[in-house]
Amino acid sequence: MSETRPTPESTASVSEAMKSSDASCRDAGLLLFWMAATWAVAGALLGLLSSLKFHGPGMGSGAVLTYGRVYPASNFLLFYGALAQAAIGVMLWLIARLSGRPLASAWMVLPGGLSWNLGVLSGAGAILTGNATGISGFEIPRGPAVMMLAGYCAMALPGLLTLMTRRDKPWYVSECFLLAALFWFPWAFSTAILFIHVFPARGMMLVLVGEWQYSNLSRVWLALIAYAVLFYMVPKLARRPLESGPTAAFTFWLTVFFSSWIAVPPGSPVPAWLQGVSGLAAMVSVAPMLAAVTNLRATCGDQAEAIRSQPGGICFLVSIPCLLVASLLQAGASFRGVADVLGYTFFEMGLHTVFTGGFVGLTVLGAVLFALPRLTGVPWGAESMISMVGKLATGAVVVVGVSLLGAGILQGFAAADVSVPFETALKRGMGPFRLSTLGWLAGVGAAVVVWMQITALGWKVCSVCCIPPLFREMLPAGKAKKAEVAA
Amino acid sequence: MGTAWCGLIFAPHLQLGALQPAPSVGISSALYPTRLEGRSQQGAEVYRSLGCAHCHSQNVRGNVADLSRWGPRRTVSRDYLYDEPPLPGTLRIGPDLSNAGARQPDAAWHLAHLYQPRSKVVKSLMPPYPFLFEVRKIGEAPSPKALRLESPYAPPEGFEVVPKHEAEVLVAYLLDRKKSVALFEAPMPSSLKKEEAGATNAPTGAVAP
Repeated sequence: MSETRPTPESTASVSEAMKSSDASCRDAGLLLFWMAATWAVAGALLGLLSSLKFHGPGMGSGAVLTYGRVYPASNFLLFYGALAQAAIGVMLWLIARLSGRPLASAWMVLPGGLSWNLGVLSGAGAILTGNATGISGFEIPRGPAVMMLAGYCAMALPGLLTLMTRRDKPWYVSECFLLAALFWFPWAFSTAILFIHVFPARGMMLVLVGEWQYSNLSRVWLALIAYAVLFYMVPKLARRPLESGPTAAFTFWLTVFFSSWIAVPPGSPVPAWLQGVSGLAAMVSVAPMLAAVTNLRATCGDQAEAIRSQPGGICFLVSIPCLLVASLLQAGASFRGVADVLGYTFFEMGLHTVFTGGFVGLTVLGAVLFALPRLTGVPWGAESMISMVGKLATGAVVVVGVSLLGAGILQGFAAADVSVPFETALKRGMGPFRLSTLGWLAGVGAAVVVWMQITALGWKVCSVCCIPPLFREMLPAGKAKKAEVAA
Repeated sequence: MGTAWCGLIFAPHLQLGALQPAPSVGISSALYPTRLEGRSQQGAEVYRSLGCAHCHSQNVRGNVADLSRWGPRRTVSRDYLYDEPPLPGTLRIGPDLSNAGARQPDAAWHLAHLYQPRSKVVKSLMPPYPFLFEVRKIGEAPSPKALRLESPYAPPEGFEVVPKHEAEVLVAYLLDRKKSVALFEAPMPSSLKKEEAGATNAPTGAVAP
């Protein structure tokens, strides 16, 4: 890995290559980011509804809107529809940029994206209509799963082809993360399809496969993409080279080797050696996370204000502490005694929110907000709205994460006391838990605003080239341009 | 990538995949577990379809709190051998249901609780499942299956609440939830006598999906 590469802006030719790379990702980026924003709105609304059910359990009492369907559907849409899809778009954009080449066979992203989104749509439909598998982490039936896998392969191939024709011989730090990420998704996802749908395993093996798959996607695949983004964006926005390439390499290798072993929470009804190995891996995995945090903080230095001033900058700044908090909590929760108290409480949901939503989600959102104007060549319509998106998303993650963690700790300690009835233990956590509704409200706000902004941006781009001239002239922008030409 | 796959997928597949029913320890040496019978199996499908596992676990861990609340013994892989799919759950917003049938064996209680949880547990957080029931006019004679509900949850005068097939099989599944057989790898803790197995400090009412 190359440690301190010159920034791409250092030469005019590199700058031209970067513009050409950005332009080649325009259609793919617009499709994936717009669809991701659409699913984020749907997922956040369902998440808000699931949270509201704890204020009034009778709310929306139809079969489709029961909590057991709404909650997993929300999770599925936010994870696969919004986060994973946006992460794929960011991955392709970064690969093209760092390779110094236009995205090869970029047209393949469009059918791939279509297949992915059809999979997401039918998967969410299956969950809401009661056709979920029931396996935590892999709720979707075979058809949607295969559509998503095929869609991913079609989208990832241009990334791989671009990496193979990359201009510079030394590897950027981020490129190594992205190369591994390209292969990680099909590996984990196809394993789940194979063992859950094609040759179904028996008993608890099904649960183990689902948990391993989901853990690998969130802790390795998405984490690799988030690391790649941060190791690229933080030095770029701070205008300083990455503090330590070897430390980034340390983060890479330990993440790849150990994080993929985390799948079995202590106390699961599986052989003890699996819990032991998984717990040990969870503890070791803290090292690469802490190394990344130290590296990024040192790179950031006193340039935090410069980063904050950029679109999406606040997302990068908050995602780093989220990584720190998640790593420490994960280490603590790996101990059997702690897991006995905090297992099966809201704590695990909170930890998941801080890591996947806070670290990965905010990083990817920051990258989307930074990338889209460069892909399209059109600036954001309203800078203040973009700034608001960052603040709302950050607020959503912090409020939901903190309230769930607090609720889990209160609930867990009360439940660990044998003399406390279960209902009382549950009620102790309900106060903080209900606060998470505020976070969901902020999340819905962020999703709606970002959807509107991407739609407006896409409209500006498409109204110039994609809409037939006859219709283009009927639009307000077209009429103004016609009047300008006439004048 | 490959090492984790071998360690957490391939090796457990060899171990758990080879798991077979085993003779239970104690009074009876019948093989355990057995496959769910027709109505219980249909109930398991309803349980999966409604996503009950997102609030209710079916996994008694080996710690004192779990054993005294949800007992009588810890849950092991063999318990899920014939579950398709196994539903150990990830969260306890409601009680653990591993021994729901032992704790509350009254089917009428479960049906009323499904229709309107607060009719049985005051301030219950569980959502009602009215779509599993039919509210209909009483015909020539009231249905023997009609729920006995008290105000304010009782239907209007001249009407009755009758469980649909889904509600009946779901309750059959819940009543089948009993882990009262000791296994070699999961013996009954000596501190819990057999007669105490069904008498835990779990909430009396909150036993439903």
